Amino acid sequence: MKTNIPADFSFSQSNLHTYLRCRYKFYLRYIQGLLWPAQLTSDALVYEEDRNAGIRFHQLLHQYFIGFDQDLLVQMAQNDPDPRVLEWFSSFLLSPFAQLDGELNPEKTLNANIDGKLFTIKMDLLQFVDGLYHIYDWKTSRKIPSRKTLLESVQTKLYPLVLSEALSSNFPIHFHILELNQVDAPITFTFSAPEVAKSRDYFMLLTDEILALEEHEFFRTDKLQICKTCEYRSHCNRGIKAPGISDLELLDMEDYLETGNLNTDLV
Amino acid sequence: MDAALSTILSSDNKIFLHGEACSGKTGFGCQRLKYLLSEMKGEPEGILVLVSQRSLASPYQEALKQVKTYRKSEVSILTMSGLVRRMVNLFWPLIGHISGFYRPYEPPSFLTLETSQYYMGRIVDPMILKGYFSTVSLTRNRLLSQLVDNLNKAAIVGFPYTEIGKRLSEAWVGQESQKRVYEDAQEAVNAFRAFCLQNNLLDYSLQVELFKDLLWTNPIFRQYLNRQYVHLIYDNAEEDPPYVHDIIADWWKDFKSALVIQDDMAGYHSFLGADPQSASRFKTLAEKSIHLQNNTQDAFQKREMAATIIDYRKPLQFKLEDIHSFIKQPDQRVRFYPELLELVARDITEKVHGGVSPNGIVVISPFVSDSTIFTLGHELAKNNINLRSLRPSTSLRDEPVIQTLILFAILAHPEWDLSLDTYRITSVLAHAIPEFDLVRAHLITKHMQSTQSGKLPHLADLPQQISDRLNEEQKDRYLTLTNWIEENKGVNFLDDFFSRLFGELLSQPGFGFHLNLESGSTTAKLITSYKKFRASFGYQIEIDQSELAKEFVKSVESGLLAATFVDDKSEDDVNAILITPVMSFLGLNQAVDYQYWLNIGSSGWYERLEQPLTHPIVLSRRWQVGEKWTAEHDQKLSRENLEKTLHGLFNRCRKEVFLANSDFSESGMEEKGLLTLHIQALFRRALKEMQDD
Ligand code: SF4
Repeated sequence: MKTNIPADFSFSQSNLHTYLRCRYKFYLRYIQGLLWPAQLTSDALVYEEDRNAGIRFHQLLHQYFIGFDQDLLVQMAQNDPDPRVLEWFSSFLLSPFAQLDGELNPEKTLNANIDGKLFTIKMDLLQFVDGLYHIYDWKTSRKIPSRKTLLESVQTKLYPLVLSEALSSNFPIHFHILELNQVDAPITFTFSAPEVAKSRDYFMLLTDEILALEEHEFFRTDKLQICKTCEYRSHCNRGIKAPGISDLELLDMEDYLETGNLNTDLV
Repeated sequence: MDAALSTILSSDNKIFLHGEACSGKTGFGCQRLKYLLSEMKGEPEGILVLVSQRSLASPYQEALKQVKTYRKSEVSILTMSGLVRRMVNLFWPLIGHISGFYRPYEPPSFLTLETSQYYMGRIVDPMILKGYFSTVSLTRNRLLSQLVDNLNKAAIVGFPYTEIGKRLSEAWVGQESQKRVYEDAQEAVNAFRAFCLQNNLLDYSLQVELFKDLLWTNPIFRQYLNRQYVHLIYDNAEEDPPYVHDIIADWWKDFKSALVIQDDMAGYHSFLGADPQSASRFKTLAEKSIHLQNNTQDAFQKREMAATIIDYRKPLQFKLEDIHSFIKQPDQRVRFYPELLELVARDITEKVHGGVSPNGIVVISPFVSDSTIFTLGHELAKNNINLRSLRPSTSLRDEPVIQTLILFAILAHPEWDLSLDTYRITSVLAHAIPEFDLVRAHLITKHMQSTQSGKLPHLADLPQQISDRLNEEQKDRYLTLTNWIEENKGVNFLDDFFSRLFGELLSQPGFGFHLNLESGSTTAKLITSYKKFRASFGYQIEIDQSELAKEFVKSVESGLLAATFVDDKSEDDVNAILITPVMSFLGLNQAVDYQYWLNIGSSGWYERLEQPLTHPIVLSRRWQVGEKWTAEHDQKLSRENLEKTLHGLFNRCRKEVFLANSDFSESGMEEKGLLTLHIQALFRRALKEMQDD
């Protein structure tokens, strides 16, 4: 039986990543909409603290780029319940990323309609300067991912593509990643038109495949390692306990970074 | 569509569009949204679609689904309270230090309605022990909700919260002792506000005050907002309180285009502060005002019928058969309410079997009880018809999945010393282990009762005559369950506890939630509710985590925590008949083919709720401070409410209203409220005219 992916379904970094890791998980989460609130890690509180600290740090940078007084924000960071927030913010202020010019759009969401399919990205910061676009992403990872891992991630390939389609941008497009736990080694990827065209081909093939699948073709992954960090493990009878936080990699978490639903921010 | 109207709605201008329900206003709003998106060239121009409540966003979300443009990211569909909360959170550093908070440089904690009531309880409980509120007979939850409501009214209407008691007192005409109650209420809200300021807690009233008084006047904020939103579509403005209209009116000149939509005969949420009179100011602000009216004969007749029911003196413009073709009554006299529900179920079944879509039918009543849902659902199920309910304040504790989770939490925390009913343990045990039947579960709980230990006995400790009655699989499950409880004793962060309980035990093969897909979303509800509860304690208040968890469990058990989630699944369930309170149905803004009205003798169709600690009109902007609220005011209000309700329901009914009336109502009383009297009068007059003819 053919699956019913809603006509307005928007592909994102998060849902594509889910699909690549396990088709069945994609099916349960995005087609069936099955909520299954099992633990992702047995260190749920540490995970939550990390996540909340990351959210507050991202909010500080959002406020910084809106134009709030820097001293005021330092004071907020000093009073944050998690000392890492002040460390990250101080490191950021010392980095060249604190001195950007041009047109700056923090927390920017973009959609693109590519060959009749919708794609969504949410950027931490979008800069337009000297006729070129720069995408910025702030990361506060416990385990710092390698350059290769980042380059191959869905996010790194998808963001420049959606940006180029949505804003008919010039090339090259720069994608800067600042890992706050390693500020001295920011990573920049530069994408030329042929590289983005390659990503386009890749994502068109991938999404065509998803849209053409029959319900029974959303297989369960055969990599049991992936099931360990999946909330559906009891549903699939693939394990009982969640792993500790030190066993998680960036890739385990990437599909939990939802980029928004239909781009309408209803509250 | 009218070509002129279409042109007006397809241009950059500021329009006020009003008319009766179901005349197509929201459809124009959606058309406008699509137009703005299609016209957007070059610079992105943000569109704010403001709706008065979340459920009213769906037509705009549907409209967006039909548009395939990357510009969709420029659209925000929000309620004003959503916008307020989001902005106060983002701009907190700019306002925290000038608003009287003790720790302005620390992140604030946002309170939900339930957590506000929880904190209000902490303020009020010691007051009650000292004899405050002694003359009021209200449940604790209702007392707390009315106190919180008072603070909210002050903020959304726009008067100092310190004047609540004085305003209520000045309008009061009854016994002097009631004035003492208003003073108590004032003292409680003053103490609550002071507590919030000390602890960085932002209840709804504080969020609104910060937004209006500090953010709205801040140039950085205004600049930010103007960059975000260039166009406005504001639907159902009449259901919002006046502060929202103040903000939008002030923002008006900055919008490049605006469309404000108002329903003429609405304002159903006036008890929550909705103010249609205040919303009508946009008529003068707009460049164009458009009135939409449904001009079909059918619509005219329904308008006339509603007006004639309300006004006995209005000459009849239709005949008895016209009334019968729209308003149906049971063919035979029905004496008791359960009999009536059977009859309603039969009538609905006939319709559905005759080809009517279940989502074209609604059953409404001023209040919808569990027993009505159960009985009607049961009767319909006999014919394979599903019933779904939509109630604004169902309590979390009413859900069996939640009862199971809460019971496990109590079993794993004996130090809370919370008592457990053995029958409840029996049924939860049978629910958690499908291999068990009630008899086996009961054997175990009976033994538990005899040991008075308050904990489930270990398998090894069960007397032989009980363990002999369990097969190996049952023993195995029971052992897993008791071991799990032992291992997780003392996990005080209940979100973590429930998540483990769900993932490691109850959703595993062989346990009750494994094949129960709904259990996932219900558990998620409880986890979210606890997270919000825990978050409201922020980082400042020193509290024992075990005590916090216990407080949460007690709040769920007492019914304080409501399951106020928009359940998308149930809303989309087109194959079920909807049963809902009348106000909730009117708030949905949807027309149906058939309406079944239950409890029509009840005064709940028009009377305001009995609220001894607050008053929706006295605390509204249209109330003249110092005036007295008398019985005449009540009568006038009831009549106005009935009129609004009748027009609203008739406009939302395409084919037939079924007056499901029995001699004895659901409460076993012979009720003859205004609605019954007015409708009977209509039938009598029409019959007389027919006989005279
Ligand atoms: S448990 Fe494994 S197979 Fe099942 S959805 Fe998750 S990743 Fe896929």
